[in-house]
Amino acid sequence: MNDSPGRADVSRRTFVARLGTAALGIALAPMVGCETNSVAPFVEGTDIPFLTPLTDPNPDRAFYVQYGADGTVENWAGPRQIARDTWGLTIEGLVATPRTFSYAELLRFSGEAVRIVSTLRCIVDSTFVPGLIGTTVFTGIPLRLVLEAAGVDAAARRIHIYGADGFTNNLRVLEAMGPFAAEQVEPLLVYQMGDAPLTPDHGFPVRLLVPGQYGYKSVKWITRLEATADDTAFGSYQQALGYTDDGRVQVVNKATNPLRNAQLSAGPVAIFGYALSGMAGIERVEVSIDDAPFAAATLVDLAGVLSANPTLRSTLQVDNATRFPYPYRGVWALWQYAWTATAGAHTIRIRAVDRAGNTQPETDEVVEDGENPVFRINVTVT
Amino acid sequence: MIAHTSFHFITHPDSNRTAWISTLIVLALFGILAPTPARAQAWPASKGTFYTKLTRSDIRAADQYTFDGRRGDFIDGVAGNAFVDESYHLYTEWGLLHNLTLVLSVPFKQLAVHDLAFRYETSAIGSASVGFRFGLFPLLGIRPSAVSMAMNLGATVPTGYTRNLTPSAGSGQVDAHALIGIGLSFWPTAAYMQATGGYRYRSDYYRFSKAVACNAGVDLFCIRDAQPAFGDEWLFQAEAGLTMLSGTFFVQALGQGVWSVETPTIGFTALNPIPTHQRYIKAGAGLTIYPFKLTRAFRFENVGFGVQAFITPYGRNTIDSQDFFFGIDFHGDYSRKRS
Repeated sequence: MNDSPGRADVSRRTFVARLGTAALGIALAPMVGCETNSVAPFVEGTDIPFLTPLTDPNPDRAFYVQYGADGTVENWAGPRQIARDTWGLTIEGLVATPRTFSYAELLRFSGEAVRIVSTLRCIVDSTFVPGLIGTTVFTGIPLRLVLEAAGVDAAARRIHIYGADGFTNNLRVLEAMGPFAAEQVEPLLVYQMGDAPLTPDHGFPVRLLVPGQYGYKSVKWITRLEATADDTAFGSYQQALGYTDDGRVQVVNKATNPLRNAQLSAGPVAIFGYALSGMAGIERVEVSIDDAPFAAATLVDLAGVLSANPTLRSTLQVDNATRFPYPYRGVWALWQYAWTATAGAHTIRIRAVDRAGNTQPETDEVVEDGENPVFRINVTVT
Repeated sequence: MIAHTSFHFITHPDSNRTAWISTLIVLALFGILAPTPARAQAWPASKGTFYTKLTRSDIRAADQYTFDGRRGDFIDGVAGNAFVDESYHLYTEWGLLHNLTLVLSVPFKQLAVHDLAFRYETSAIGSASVGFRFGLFPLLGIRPSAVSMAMNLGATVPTGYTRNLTPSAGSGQVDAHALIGIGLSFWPTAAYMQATGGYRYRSDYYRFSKAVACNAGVDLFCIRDAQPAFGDEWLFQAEAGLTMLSGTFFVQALGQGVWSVETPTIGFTALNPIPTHQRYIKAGAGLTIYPFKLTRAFRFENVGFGVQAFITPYGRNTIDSQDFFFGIDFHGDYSRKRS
């Protein structure tokens, strides 16, 4: 019998056991009860101007820049830096006369150039990736003109579109060349944005703009068009990411004030934001507080928009009021709603309806065509 | 005995090697962060011995690696660390038999991410890892030497957390791994090197986690329950360690890699907002101090305080993070009374 070593061992074991228990306790203590989750806003809601500035000291307020090739093209080398003198647009495939337009040759169509107002919304713009939307004026030449000059074959069904950075997309021949529906502005080869030459970030010297369709249809640094009889989906976002080939912007709205989960003071609260549809102009925006019946919000009218944005006066839509009734198709409409907040937790629901009768679903499980469920804000009023 | 000498130093719960992040649907991805089971374990523990370590992680990321390996903002427009992981990890292993070691780890995840407008936080018990290690040389009848080889088999199992929270405490499904470690001891110099390689099977079995009903595009606290089919991965680890001053200081050089079998070709898809393939390499160093070895306070001589630090020099579909792990560890031998 060896008492001393035995006592030492017991003591050691006791110590180790206690130390282990303590460590386990420390580790497990915060786990009791355990799963928690919170979402807290840390900025104020923001008012938004009808025309989005291209630059702003606060980058959140400037026109968004999104590179479709960044997430889809292997070893994408960043935005292109292309000089006007070296840029060219090649039109080939099922055309009578394959040809390449230089920048100077493109501008020979400038007599038919149009200046439009349009909203670009990235299809990724959503609850979790907000802010990928903006409105400004664009100047460009109808895509139809260069396709007609090359003589697109009657057998062609689609125009495959290639950007210099490797990004691709397509338009149906009917989408590119018409006939175009009422309220629809045709696709343009844009060389000015915000009444200034495109910046490299936005596709200098020439990009495509497809009004009323998501941003991925408007290929930047456009350099090649291929007419093809292939009538299947084609493009980086469709083939690599699974987004819909039909890029029409679904009717959507967003309140930019108040923010979700915000803490508000009782009393008057201005709820405001924007609404957009690529299929028709916005007809109305409706607001419901705590499941009360929807009530109409006030749309900012054209006079108010023009008063604050006089540069809009010479755009195609403003100049052709009969053909393009306000709110415009593919251009956001600003709205506001006055609410007298009372103490407690509240849910604000907002939905938009366009003139074609399209509205937002209560839930939207189909993300391939862009998110557009009824916009919902939970707030706490004290 | 050589192996025993090295054992206490080569066992470390350097948990929570981060995973991957998408280019755009970034907030959907934080649930992927999970400890990797890749630990170079070439030496099984002796029967009756144990090793336990409690670690606090401090992982921060302002940047990410895209699917093709380019660096970019973690979240566009967000300056500073948009992702922070301050979790606790309890790791322990026991020598059940002479050649069989039980390895357990469980994390208490504390994650925070923020975009331009919101801060999202989640805390929960993450996926637990359970495994066994056994020496291959004894099975093959090879005599003990300076070289050791061990097989590590294990699984990572969710502990019932909600897999579609933003962020979530884990990827939500069960993974299984098999790793072979080869180690070389330089005894009588108290130093070693080891390398481990293996395979992680990432299953589609999600029943050990739950999903909350989520109104996509409306709710901020959750994402769609995509239950993606993650790609299997090769796992690598290399490590070298040296003890000094009678075991008071233990320094390590560490490297680790996770390499999806299939090359990541895309960051995310509309149907599946979570990238299913990732690759990364981590490089780091560690220092553990056993201060009571100097004081001869025998009750505490096996208590160590350590820090490990990692950078991410290469990645695809992963965050470019700086990882720190602060830990307290201790080891002992339950079998001594019987010897």
